[in-house]
This record gives sequence, C-alpha cells and structure tokens, in this order.
Amino acid sequence: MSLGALDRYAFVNAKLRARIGSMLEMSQWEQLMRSNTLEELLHALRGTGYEPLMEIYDQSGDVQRLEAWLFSRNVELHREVAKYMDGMHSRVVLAFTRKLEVENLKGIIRLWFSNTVKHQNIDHRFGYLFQRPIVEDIDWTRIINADTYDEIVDELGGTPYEEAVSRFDSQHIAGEGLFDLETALDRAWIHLLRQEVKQLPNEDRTLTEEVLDRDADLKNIINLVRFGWMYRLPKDRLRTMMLEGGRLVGTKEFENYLDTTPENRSPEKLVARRFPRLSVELAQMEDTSPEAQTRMVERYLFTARKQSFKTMLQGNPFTIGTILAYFFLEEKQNGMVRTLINGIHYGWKFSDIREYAV
Amino acid sequence: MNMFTVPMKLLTAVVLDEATESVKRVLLKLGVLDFIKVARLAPQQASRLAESAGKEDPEAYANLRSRVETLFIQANIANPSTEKLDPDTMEPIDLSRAKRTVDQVVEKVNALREQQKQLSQGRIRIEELLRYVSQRQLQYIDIRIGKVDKGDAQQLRARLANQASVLIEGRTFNDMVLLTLKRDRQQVAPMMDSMGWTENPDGNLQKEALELLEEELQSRLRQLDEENANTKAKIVGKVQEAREPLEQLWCGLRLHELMGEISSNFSHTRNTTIFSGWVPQSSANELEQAIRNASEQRCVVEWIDAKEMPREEVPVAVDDVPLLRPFQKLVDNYSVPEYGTINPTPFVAISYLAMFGLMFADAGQGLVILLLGLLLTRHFKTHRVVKPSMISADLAKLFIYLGGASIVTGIIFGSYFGRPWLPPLWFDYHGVVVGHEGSGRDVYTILGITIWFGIIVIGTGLLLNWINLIRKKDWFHLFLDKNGIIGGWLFGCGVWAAFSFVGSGYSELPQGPFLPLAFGVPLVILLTKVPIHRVLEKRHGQFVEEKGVGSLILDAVLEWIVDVLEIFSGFLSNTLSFMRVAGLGIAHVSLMSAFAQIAELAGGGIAGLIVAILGNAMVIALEGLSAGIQALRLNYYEFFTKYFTGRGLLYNPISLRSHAGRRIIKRS
Repeated sequence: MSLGALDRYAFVNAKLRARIGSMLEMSQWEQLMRSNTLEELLHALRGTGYEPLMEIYDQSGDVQRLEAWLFSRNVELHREVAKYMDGMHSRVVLAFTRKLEVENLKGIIRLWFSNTVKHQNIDHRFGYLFQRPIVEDIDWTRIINADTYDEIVDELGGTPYEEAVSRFDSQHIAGEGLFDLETALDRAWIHLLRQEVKQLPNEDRTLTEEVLDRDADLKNIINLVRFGWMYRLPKDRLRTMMLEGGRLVGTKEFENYLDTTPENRSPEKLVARRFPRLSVELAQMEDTSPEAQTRMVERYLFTARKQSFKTMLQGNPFTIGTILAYFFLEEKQNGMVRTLINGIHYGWKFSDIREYAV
Repeated sequence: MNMFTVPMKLLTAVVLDEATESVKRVLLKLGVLDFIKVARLAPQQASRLAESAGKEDPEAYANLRSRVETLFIQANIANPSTEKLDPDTMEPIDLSRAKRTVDQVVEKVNALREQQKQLSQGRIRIEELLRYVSQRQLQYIDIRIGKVDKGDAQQLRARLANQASVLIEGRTFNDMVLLTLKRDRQQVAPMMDSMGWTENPDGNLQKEALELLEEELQSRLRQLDEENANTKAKIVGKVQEAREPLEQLWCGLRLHELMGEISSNFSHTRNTTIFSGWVPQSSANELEQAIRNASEQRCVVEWIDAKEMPREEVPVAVDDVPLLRPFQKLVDNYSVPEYGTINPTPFVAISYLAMFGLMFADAGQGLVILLLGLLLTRHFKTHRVVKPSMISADLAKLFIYLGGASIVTGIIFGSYFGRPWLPPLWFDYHGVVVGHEGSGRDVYTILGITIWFGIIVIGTGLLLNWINLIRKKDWFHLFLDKNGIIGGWLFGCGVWAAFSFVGSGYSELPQGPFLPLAFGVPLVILLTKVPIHRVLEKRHGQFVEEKGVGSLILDAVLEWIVDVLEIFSGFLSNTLSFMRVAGLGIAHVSLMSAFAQIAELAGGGIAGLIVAILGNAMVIALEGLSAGIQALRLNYYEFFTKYFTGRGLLYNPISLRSHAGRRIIKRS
C-alpha cells in the first residue's frame, strides 16, 4: 500500500465505512416490511438517512415524489463521493455516476416517446424526473420538449452519448421503439467506465475490472436467457445487446448458444464453464421457465456481488473497494426502500414484499 | 440512595389456573417483575409444562397499537400517558372491530392524501409552466389569445383538466388567454378546433399576456399551497375527531399487549400456573402480598437470593434519583454495570461536571448555558414531544448542570464573559494563560492542576474497582489485575517517582533503595499471576490445558511482560490524557482574548459589543460542545475502564410505566 493510496482513501474510507455502519440491518428491514401503512413505514424510517421522506409525503401525499427524492439522493451521494476524490479516481466515480445519468436520460426519452411518437398525454410526469445536471450538462427540458428525435441527438452532441444516439434516426425510433437506443446508451456508459478504469493504479484497476467483468457476464447471461430464449431474438440482435467485457462473450459456449435455435437454447450449458455452480442450480430448478431462470441468475448475481463486496470491506481499506462496496450497498438499500414504499402503498402481501425486497 | 445496584430476589410462584387473570393484573399493576422462563430454572421438568395457550397475542395488539400511534404522529398527538392505564378497568377488545375503527380513520385520511396527491400533481404542472414563463422559454409553450365559438371557458377548462394549462378570462382584454405546453399540441389542438377556437391576430398582445400569465401562475401556486395546507389540516382534523376513541383504544391495546407478554412468560400444568422472575428486594414483600391476595392465598411463593444465582443472570437496576437522571443517561449509553457493583452515576455526575467546569470556566457563559437549559426544560414541560430529536429533556437538564459548573469555576478563576469583572477566589486563570498573573503561576501550574485532577479520578476509579472486586469476592483480580491492588501500587509509585523527578528539575529519580523496592516487589508478585490463575482454575473444576514446566514459565513471563507494559503505558497515557482539560481551558481563554482584541480593533462601542456578543456565542457553541465531548471521553475511557466492566443484564420488568424497559426504579 503506497502513501498515495493512504492519502487518497483515508478520509473517504472512514466516511463511507461510517455510513455503511449506519445502514439498516436485516432485522430492521423485517420490521419495516411489517408496516401496515405508508405513514407507518415512513415514521419508522425516522433517524435514518431516509427521514426526509416523511416530510415529503406529509406535504404532498404523493408516492412518486418519494421515488423522485430517492433518485435525487442517490445522485447527490455519488457526486459527494466524487468530490472527496481527485484526478482519475474522481473521474472513475463520475463514470459510475453515469449509470444514473443514463437511467434518467432513458426515463426522459421514454416520456418523450410516449408524448411525441405515441401521442399519449404525459401530463405532469416529467416533474418527477431529475432535472439538474448529473455528470454532463444536459438540458433535460429541451429533450422532453423536443419536436423530433434529431433535436435530442443535437442536445446530446458533445456528450459521451452522442455516438450512441446518433446511430438511430426518427424513423427507426418510431418504427422499432426505444429498445435498441436504450441498449446502446447502456453500452456507452459501460464503455466510458471501462476506459476510465484502465487509468487506475494496478490494485484499484484489478479490483474494479474483476467486478465489472463478473457483472458483465451475469448481465449478459440474463439478457441471453430473457431475450434469446424468452423472446427468441435472432443471434445478430443478441450480439448487439452484449455488454463489453467479461469472459463469456466470444467463448465456444456463447457461440453455440447463439447458433442454437431459440427453443433449444440451454442456459445451463452456456454458464457451465464460467459459473459451474450456477449451472448446477439452473439444472436443478423445478421451474425451468425463462422467467424463473432469469430470476435465478439475478439472485446469483446479487449473491456473488454481495460476497465480493463483503470481501472488499474486509480487505485492504485503502483501495477503491470501499467505494464500490458503498455504491452497491446504497443501491441495494435504496431499492429495498423503493420496494417497501410501493409494496405497502399498493397493498402487497408481506411475502411478496419480502420476495422482491430481499 | 443505594450506592450499589439494587439488590434482587428471584421469585417463583405457583397459583391455581382460575386465579391467573387476577394475578396477571396485579403483576402488571406493580410492574416490578422481570420474567424468566420457568423452563430455565427446571429444565428437566420443562417438557411437562405447557406454555400459555395464547388467548392474547401481544403481536396483534402491538401491531394495531402501532397503527394508532402512526395516526397520532400525523396529528401531532402524544401517546396517552401511562397513568391512564389501569388493569383493573381493562375490558376485552374485539380486535376485528378495533381494526375497523382504525381502518375507518385511515380511510378518511387516505382519501385526503389522495386529494393531496392531486394537488401535488397540479403543482408540478403549474411549476413547469411558471418556469418557462418566468424564464421566457417561449419555445416550450403555446400562448393563445382568442375565444371559443362552441362552449365557454368552464367547458374548455374541463377539457384541459389533464393537461398542464392555464386559462385566463375577463382581464385586461376581452379575449381568453390560454397557456399550454407545446409538447401537448397533439392533444390540445383538436380540442381547440372542436370548440371553435378563434385566434386573435394581434401579435402585440403576447407581451401583456405573458405578464398576466406569470401573475396567474404565481397566484395558482399560492392557491395550491393554501389548499394543501387546508388538506393537511383536515387530515389532522380527522384524527382529532377520532381522538377520544383512539386514545381509549390505544390504552386498551397497550394493556392487552402487556397482559399478553405476561402470559407468554407463564407455564402451566393441568390446573396451575407457574411463573418466575427477578424482583428488587425492596418490592418483594409487596409483590408476594399482592399475589397472595389475588390468588386468595391459594398459591405457593418461593424466593431465592441473588447471591445463590450466577451473577451474570441477575438483572441490574439502580435507584432513580431525579436530580441525577441526565448523568444516568450518560452511564446508560456506555453499558450496564454488573450486578452487585457500584452505581457509577453519582461519580460520573461529579467527575463530568468537574471536567466540564475546568475546561469551560466562565461564569457569564455558564449563566447563558444554564438559562438555555432552563428555557428548554420549560419548553419540554409545556410541549409534550411527539417526534424524538437530538435535543431531549434530559439534555436540557444537563445544560443546567453544566451551566452551574461553569458558573462555579468561573467565579473561582474570575472570568465573566472573558472579562475579570470580579477578583477570583483562587487565581486568575485568564491572567496565567496570557502571562499577566502576578503570583508567579504559569501554564505549567494549570497543567499540574489537571494532572492532579487526573490522578484523583484514576485513583477513584481504582478504589471503586477494588470495592467491586471485594463485593464479588474476586480476590485474584483484586490483587493481581492491572486495575487491582498491584496496579494501584505501581500507579502510586509511578506518581511519586514522577513528581520527584519533576521536583528535582527533571534531573534525577528518588535515590536510595526505596524506589527499586517499591517497583520491584509488585513486579515480582505479578510474575505469580499466571501460575496462581491455573491453580484457581483447576480448583474450580475448569478445564486447564496440560503444559510442561518450560511452557508454563514462558506463558508466565510473556503475560508478565504484557501486563507490565499495559500497566506502565496505560496509566501513563491515562494520566497525561487529562492534560486535555488544561488544553481546552487554555484554548477557551485564548479564544476569548482573541475576541477581546478584535472588539478593541473594531473601535469599541456598538461594534465592539457586537463582536463580543458574537464571540461569546461562538465560544459557547464550539468550546461548550468540545468540552462536553472531551469530558464524556475522559469519563468513558480514563475513568470507566478502571472499574466499569459493563457485563450487566438490563432489568426489564413488564410494566405500565413509560420507562418500562429502563433499568431505573423508583423507591416508594
């Protein structure tokens, strides 16, 4: 460990570990899941980082405002961590923050699509989306109010998303929908992230690339199962959906999977070499539907990530590992709060809330 | 006041089944029994005992009570006082009916929340329009000025209800002014056409229209805010309307919940109910009498003294002294003392106040803190707190004490808002720090005082530890532990040697054989610690790993080295740690001097007064916080580590009182 690493990570490590330490524990989540009403849930979140939710709900009675606040909080947390770092490390953190930016961009483009292409009334829904700069200085207002797709492309000119959006035109969007555009945006931010990660010092780079490779492999598997088996997309379309990195794409198993006819594709064979344990679990499943298998892979991904971040937190504190673990845990926590809010508000059963939240 | 933890006794009672309900009521009313499972006392018999049949499911009542409390919080109503809880007048609760009562109120509240949501969405629409209008982002909006041939403004408004829009009529000009979003054109244009909209061709009206629209939008926002405030008030009103039945329900639910908890600790045979638990000795007779009365003397009650039970199983309670409650909180935050040991609270009260006073010695600033404490205490008395916050009633009381301590030390050292308005009772602290003091004292004097203060605190800690160990009859640790007599002996010798060294001008330690003997004897005795420990363990029947002589000697020597290092470095660092008291006191004076100079540089008069006031405020806030935290740290680390093991079990009786679950008891 170099003095540079100590200097770089000492403060942010202490800060983020303190935050991780104050995150809600499983026993608290179990209590929260038993809340009968939204007010009860929000009152139970007093004294946590989610305390403002009560005031927001008290002022507005609007569940979507709560979701908007959760997203906003996530953005601010990412930007705050970026501020604690400098140089290439700050750029890497901002590169992670692009995920949120792309999520916001996709949300706004979807609304634009509903309004401008499908001629549906989007009413007040833009008000729930994040409208301040996240990483790039994008004029979100211009995008939602764009008359044509070309205006959106123009607005995103000079941003890292320019190349992705300019691959398509109004005709494609109107005819094919947004799926390809959203896939392209996802690939764009991951590509940017990987470029930034390459600049990191050895230990940080290895750690981060390991995480990204594993995530890429598992997300690619999810897409191959969902779209290759459930929706039976042809192999050319599937290839364009693959995320950069990982060790699955280009392997014999991958090519065989694509070459096989959709109804005969086998997720177990696909993952057998890279994730043998997952392969065994998939083979042992009683419910072999694509939905069930996708959920299994998602759970496996979550477990693998949780384990690796736990290892990072137990290891050398002066690496980027603490930051990665913090982002993962915050994302998980936010997701659980969102699920609880929606589940309790819409009257889901406790068992359903538990299944989705945990 | 009992200086030690409250003596406890273990009760075991058997009553006939038919007396169970009345016994439960008296147990709840008295609220002194900390239950244990009977099966723990007689594990061999456990299989023959049945647990309670679960007539009252505490969880169901707790759940519903929580829902009622949520309603209370929304309406800013405090939970009913526990004084209203009376087991004797308890009535059965039909849970499904109770749920319906709560559901009805919740439904009304939800209906209002839905209205609130609509208002919120309306606000979003208006905010977006206002942003475009006020920032003149005209490319995003459509402003139409004209009239409709088919229908009227009301009908037009109704048609545009789901669009972000503003319609103004009958203002400066005759035509209507309609504002919509350009992106909604696809939906709006056909509507306009179907109503026969005719546009006014005069383009000059746009500017006036914009101003009208901005005004209208701001007015709409204010209106929405008002409506929202009214809706919120209605929500509060709906709960307030149902306040009385909800409060009664809350009381009933709470009683049933507690009765259910009591039931869950009962065991049964075919005809009897058996229960057991810990009771403070002072309440034992009263409890036994109450059980006998409730069961019409048809019971068996047995008592076991706490001395006959493993110490770690006996729950810990301390006497409640209202004056000392803020300090009790400080102790509670640290841990629970072991049963039978000293109650740290009175000692913490003295040490904490002394430390704070030494670090923050100013009568004027102390008066401000005291007044703040009094104001806050009064506020908490008149406003029952519904939502917990960082500033609590106990903290407010603590301010009063801290203020008092500062006033006392301020008078002793002659400091009043950093000024020497009155002569000090001891010496001029301020003068010593800035170098003006006439009696020859200097900063080292202050350091010396705080070192002595630290020695007294550490010495007191050791003494308390010895008392605890004597009461526990733990002779081994009393003599051979680093905080035992050997440790104290070495500490005392160290203090003596250190002061001699300082007294000789930092040139030599005390001469003669006394010093080597004074250190040498306890160090040699310490070497016997490991062998004696092994012998004692064997005598108590504990497993002791067989080792060769060489291995035993090595163990003893290694442990001895560690102990010696811990004793010397630990006591040294703990003692020197008290220099922070001097440090903070000096910093306090330095800050006040700095502000005094700034006030002079500001030319005195009003400007100087403002600087002085702001300076004092800043010092009270920053230095006060600092002193409070450092005093706490010194107590927790330098003082508590000498004697407070914190291995106690919380005394947690099932009780009606709001502090049920806390470890303090009131003596009648």
